[in-house]
Amino acid sequence: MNIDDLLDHYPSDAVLEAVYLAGRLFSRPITLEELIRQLSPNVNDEARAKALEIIGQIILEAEQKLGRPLSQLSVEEKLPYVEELDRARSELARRSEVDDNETEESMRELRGISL
Amino acid sequence: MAKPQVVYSASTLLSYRICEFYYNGIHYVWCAPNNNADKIIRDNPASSDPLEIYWLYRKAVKTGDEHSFQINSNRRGIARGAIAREEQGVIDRKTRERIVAIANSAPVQEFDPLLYVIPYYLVQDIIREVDLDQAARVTSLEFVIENLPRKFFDVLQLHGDLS
Repeated sequence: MNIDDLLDHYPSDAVLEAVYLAGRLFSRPITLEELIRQLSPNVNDEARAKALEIIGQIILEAEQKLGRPLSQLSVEEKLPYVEELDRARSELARRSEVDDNETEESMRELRGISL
Repeated sequence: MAKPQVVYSASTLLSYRICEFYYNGIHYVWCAPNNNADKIIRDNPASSDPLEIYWLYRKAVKTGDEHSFQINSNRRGIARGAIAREEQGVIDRKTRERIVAIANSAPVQEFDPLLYVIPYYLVQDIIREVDLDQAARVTSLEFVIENLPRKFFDVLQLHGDLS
């Protein structure tokens, strides 16, 4: 999956939702249907639908490349696809209007929060 | 079926601080009973065992592992959480972008693990059992709490090594 294409064609909420869902799906012995059943229903339906569309494309890509259905792929075989999606998350953060100084200032504020 | 006395959730200092600072002390947690402490309750696989997850975080922080799957998993969760809280009207778009940026660039040391200890009776009205398939149900029990107030849990920091 080309990250630039992904970011050009999908809104950021859908991409971040897809990154999160793919992380859970590909690191556990569960199916996409089971993952969907586990999710909270009260979320942005449009973003989730698009996120699931992205994940569907990734699953298809993985199954075609590795020649087996998702259920027969090991976690090790699936994780590179999550790592690829992580690049999209990083790219989204890079493209945002939040600059490094602002991020660092926010980090300093957060460090003041005690347990 | 017997309910656990206590459920646990592995989190990180960064995640905790973001929930406290930006979400008014409301936390989103996946949680489960402790494998070794509650003999009534079924064992969970490592991927959803809070103590296993805790030590994975601990090891990643201790070794400064920039590519840790566990820490990246937390980065994903924090970013996704910011979207959810924006949709709920808790934060605005600018704050969401700030949180996503923090999740992306925070150094590994910010992900020091925390173990949340959550008495079940306090959360019985807000906890949701995760819908697992029939096969997984035999061995696993996992819950999610989407709006967990800080006053409903204690926080532990465990020290030591995995090995």
